[in-house]
Amino acid sequence: MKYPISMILSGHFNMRITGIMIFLLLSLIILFFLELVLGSVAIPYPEIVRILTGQGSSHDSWIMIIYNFRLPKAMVGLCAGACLAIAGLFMQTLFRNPLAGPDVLGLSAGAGLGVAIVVLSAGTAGASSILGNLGFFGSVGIAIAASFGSGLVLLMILAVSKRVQNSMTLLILGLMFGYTANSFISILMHFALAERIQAYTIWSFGSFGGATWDQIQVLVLFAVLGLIYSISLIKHLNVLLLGDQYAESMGLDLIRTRNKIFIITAVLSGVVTAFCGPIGFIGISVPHLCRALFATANHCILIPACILLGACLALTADIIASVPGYSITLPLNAITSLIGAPVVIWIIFSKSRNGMEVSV
Amino acid sequence: MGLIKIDKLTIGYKKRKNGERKVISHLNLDMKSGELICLVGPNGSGKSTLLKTITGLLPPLDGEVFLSGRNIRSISSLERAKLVSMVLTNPVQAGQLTVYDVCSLGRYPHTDWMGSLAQEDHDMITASLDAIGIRHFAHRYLHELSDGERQKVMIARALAQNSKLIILDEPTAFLDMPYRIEIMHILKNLAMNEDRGILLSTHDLDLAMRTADRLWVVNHDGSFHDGAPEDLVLNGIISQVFAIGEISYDAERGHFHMPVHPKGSARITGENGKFRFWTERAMERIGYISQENEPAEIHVHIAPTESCITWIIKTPGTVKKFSNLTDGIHWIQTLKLVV
Repeated sequence: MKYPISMILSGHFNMRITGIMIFLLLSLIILFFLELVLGSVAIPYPEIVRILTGQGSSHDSWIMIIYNFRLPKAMVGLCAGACLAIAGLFMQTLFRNPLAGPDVLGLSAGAGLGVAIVVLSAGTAGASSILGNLGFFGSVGIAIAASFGSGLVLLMILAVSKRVQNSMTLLILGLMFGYTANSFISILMHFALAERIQAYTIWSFGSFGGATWDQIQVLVLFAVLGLIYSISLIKHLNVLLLGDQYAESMGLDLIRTRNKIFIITAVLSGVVTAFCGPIGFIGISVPHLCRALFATANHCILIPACILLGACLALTADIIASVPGYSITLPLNAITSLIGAPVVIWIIFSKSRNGMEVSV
Repeated sequence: MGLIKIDKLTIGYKKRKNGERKVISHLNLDMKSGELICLVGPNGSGKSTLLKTITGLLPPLDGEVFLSGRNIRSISSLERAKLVSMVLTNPVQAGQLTVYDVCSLGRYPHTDWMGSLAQEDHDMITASLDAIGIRHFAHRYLHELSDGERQKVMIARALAQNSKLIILDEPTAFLDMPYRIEIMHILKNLAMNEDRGILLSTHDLDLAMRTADRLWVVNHDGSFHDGAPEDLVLNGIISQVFAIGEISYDAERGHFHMPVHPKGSARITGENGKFRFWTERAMERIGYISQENEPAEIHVHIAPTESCITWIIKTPGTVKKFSNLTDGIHWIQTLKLVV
């Protein structure tokens, strides 16, 4: 009996896969517009279209809201979701562990430590405004501190990586780096002033807002470069699915490939953590959703799928967190988990009923 | 030109502080295409170390390994992967990959930077699936398969890698008997029909001796023997290497001998062939060595009747008929307890 290749080769571009991709792309476009439309100030839909197409608007404040708040937020959410999902996918494949995510290498804990040092210990006190208190640092300073922290953890991992043959050992080491960084943060918080702790806590809630266009340029640049570079890793990631030893026996240079994957993960998740704070859950859940949705482990499909679905999930979470119609916002981090967890639980149960289990 | 040529090779591990742990020293070996060689030896004797060194996953401590005439120290990992492919012991756990996907990964050293498959690659994959006889489940997912089927997929993947030499590290360790035999049969056919060289390590000495063209025997002390299985039995190497305590290799019958406390002798008469063979085995199992002459403690007569076989068992004083060996053996054992 002969099967057509498109049926045998999972992840070959067939009708079903193309269909889901188009659906995800359309959802992303709709969510992006919803992010612009919804907010505490109601701006009519035709006005938004006019503002975006550069025809101006009857209210100058509306133009300001769209250009300086909602559009940057949508852009940051889009990039952050895509980057985190890809970083999570890479970590899950490399460690062949379904629980791995962008933070398993201890990178976001490192970023957190960098931010904690700047926010919690800089200067002594007494000022009324927290942001003013940070002085020259501000949000750019926080981004630099976060990049510094995660970069340092990455360097440590790369140094250790040369001597370690087994990837699982690195997974444990990454987790240990994370715990160490977190304990330093706890110590810093213990001695810090209340309003500084609050400032740090707000950072750790995560947010897509507050970025300036200059910062967005940096974020988009890193995201686009990182995502383009990850295309060159597709072949190696696929062969890593059979495990380190099989991959090596088929000619993969394990340590070099592993380091490439680490660097790209560090760039993608580091830049997001620097600008948005630690955003949980997207990185770990989106790859699972994509594998289930497309029924393939082929990275040729999973990479574009994770970019689209990651961005969709991030924007959805942000829309819910901003509570349309009310002037309050909820912590973004809480919402990503709150909407993500039930979806993943549902996937696990529906898959295990079919005799399939969640795996990498 | 041989597939493998090993020249004064010393294998082992480098220790942290400039030390070395040598496992086997000064090996000289060679292997031609079309050969099936089984590497056997007790646990911890260095089988895996040798295989890893030959595949280039572990650097040799001293000496050289040549694959198809090329020194493995001087070729890149991709070039090496075109010369030798590997199958490991543990079945791969991977979700959402079809059998065809896994085989297509074997094309890794041959495809471009994107890993896209050309018609030639698809042909090679299909041919590999056919050679192993698993084309009919090419569309199935790896996680739906049994361990034995999965191991066949991994062998097909090694074939798709299109290397002349295939090395397998205890490929049948986790499989049950029929699959072990089937996999050995497949490997034997690959060596003969496709002119590949197949080197595998195994603990299944019996199966190895029935299939392999040559055995490579490693011993605990690092000594190494190379030869046809039959030669190695006749010159006593096998019994020397594999004897542990009371367990010894019976060179006359070609299997391991389990120590049984001898209780007496049995004389078996009547039907020949398979009935006699298994009756002898049963008597031996409970400690009665079969002998041709009188006097024996037990006399078993295998009597054919029209539709079935009956065993007439005579002991001094009693005679009883049985329609199967289960009851007969049970009777002898309880009888002895009484005496």
